[in-house]
Amino acid sequence: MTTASIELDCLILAAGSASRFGGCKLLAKWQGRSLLATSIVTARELEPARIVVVAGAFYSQLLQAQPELDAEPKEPIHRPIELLEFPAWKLGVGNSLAFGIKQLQNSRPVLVLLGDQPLVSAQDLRNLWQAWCKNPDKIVCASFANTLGVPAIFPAHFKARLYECRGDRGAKKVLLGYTKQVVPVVMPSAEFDIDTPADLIFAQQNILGQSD
Amino acid sequence: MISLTINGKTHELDVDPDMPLLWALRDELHMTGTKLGCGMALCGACTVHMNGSPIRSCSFPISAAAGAKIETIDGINSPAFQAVQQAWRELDVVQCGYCQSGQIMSATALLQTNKKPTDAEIDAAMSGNLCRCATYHRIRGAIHQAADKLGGNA
Repeated sequence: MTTASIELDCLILAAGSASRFGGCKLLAKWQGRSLLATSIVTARELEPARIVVVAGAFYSQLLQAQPELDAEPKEPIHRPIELLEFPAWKLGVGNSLAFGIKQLQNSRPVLVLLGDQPLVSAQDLRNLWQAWCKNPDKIVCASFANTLGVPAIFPAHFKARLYECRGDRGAKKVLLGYTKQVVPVVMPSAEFDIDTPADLIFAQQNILGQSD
Repeated sequence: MISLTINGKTHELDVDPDMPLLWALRDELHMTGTKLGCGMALCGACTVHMNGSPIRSCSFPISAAAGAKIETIDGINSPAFQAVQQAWRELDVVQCGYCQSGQIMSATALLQTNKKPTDAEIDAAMSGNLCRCATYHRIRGAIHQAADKLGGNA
């Protein structure tokens, strides 16, 4: 899989305070890496032109962890992640999304990902990308758990809608507001996210089959 | 009121916007070709098309389907569907049959965008559709046969 003809940007949202986790959950361990590194490694499979990570509450911790986050280069060209600080992260995920979108070139489509959906696989993202290549003027997004959501690929002309996002509502509001323009991709793996330490332990014991 | 366009016809429904599309299809509109399997988007029996793309209707709210083009096994009639239906018959794909409306919808969606899928592409596209009778080899064979029949006209 290569994105040779069309270049894609990837935006990973990682700015929240993880209040229900009680700490920097994106650096919690998941199969030998951090959760956030898991998202980054998965995203690299699509060989995006840029990987922009929007950090907020835990920016300094993520900055310290950047060597680990960037540890697994994707050959032949390794483009390092761009870790950006969004100081106003408390305003909500919508503002973090808008901030991230503003950092990207207007002309390219963007893959929006979260840092805490570790079951989303490289194959899931390839399915998303293939569906988007067949529908390059549409939004292609994950369909799971009676809703639409991210991961999602937005064509360049939808960036203005993402840029308008504010408060607690992120990309989902745009997806549900433009259902005629949406091509859903079935992705049950996107339902599972890590909110609490119990989620993490449950997943490690029941999904990954690890005892620790 | 929520307006749904299903198989080219518009239906007005006065129901909870969070109602899964499958409930609306089966219980409100009495279109029972689409089946309930697991109810968790894991088995594929409830597959329908939204804007040409396969979705699991058991886990898809009607509010997200409003305004979109929905097609179900009850009404779809594209060339790809006809080729799939014919191949299904010729190869006797069905055993118990419960999963088959979902299998056929996924196979049709694949052939509408990929005229000549490889084994790997078929496996990737069909991986979300489970068959308890394990008719997978016949399903794959029928998709190849339908692709051959479609030739370049898919």
